[in-house]
Amino acid sequence: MEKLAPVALAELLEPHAGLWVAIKRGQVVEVAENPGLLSMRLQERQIRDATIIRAPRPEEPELVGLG
Amino acid sequence: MMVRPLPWAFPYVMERAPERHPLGRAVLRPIVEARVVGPGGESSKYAALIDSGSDYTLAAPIVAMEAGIDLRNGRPTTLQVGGAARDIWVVDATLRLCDPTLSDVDGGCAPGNAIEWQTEVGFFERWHEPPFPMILGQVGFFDVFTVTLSRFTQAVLVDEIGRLETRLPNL
Repeated sequence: MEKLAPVALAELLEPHAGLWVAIKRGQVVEVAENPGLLSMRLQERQIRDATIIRAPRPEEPELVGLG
Repeated sequence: MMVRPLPWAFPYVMERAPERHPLGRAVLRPIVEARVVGPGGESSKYAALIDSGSDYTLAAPIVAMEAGIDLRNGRPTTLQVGGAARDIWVVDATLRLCDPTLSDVDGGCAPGNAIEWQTEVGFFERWHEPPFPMILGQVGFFDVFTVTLSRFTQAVLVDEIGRLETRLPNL
């Protein structure tokens, strides 16, 4: 069985630790302190179809479950 | 454009590189891209964590706001999430799963090329610094698709809901 190459977001997210990041075509296109602000900035710049994700801080304990 | 038939394969997302991990291994997550659609239109496209351990499909309040969903029409309940009791509003909403092959295409997560379904979604009343803006759980995702998670293959396979029955041994 063949492994798929993972989507390598680690390097993209690392400079923006703790922030919300919009990614499009493999590039960070906008960053903000919260998703609402990020969404507003994307609208202002008329950037559509970016994917929004939060960049974890390096010192954050690794998430293993939400319960 | 037509909706591509299932199954869809989503590569895992590397959130943390091995050299940044205390045990020297990558943090690989089963993450897909999804939107919520409501009376106000569609939300932004969010990274959604597939979480088989969550009985609920959950989203941050900003997602409801973007889709124009009035949480006051929802059913309130309280969940234990991240070690704390958190209030959510459960509403009926439309979810849209984005085709991973169109991730970098403008208009690549639109009604004509993505899969939409109606389900209940729990929106947090307050959720500061959520690790993920959307969580796809048992109700709302695993009861809609056959979902196969493979750390070995580093991929998620999302298939038609009845697909597992053909793989079950005779019991």
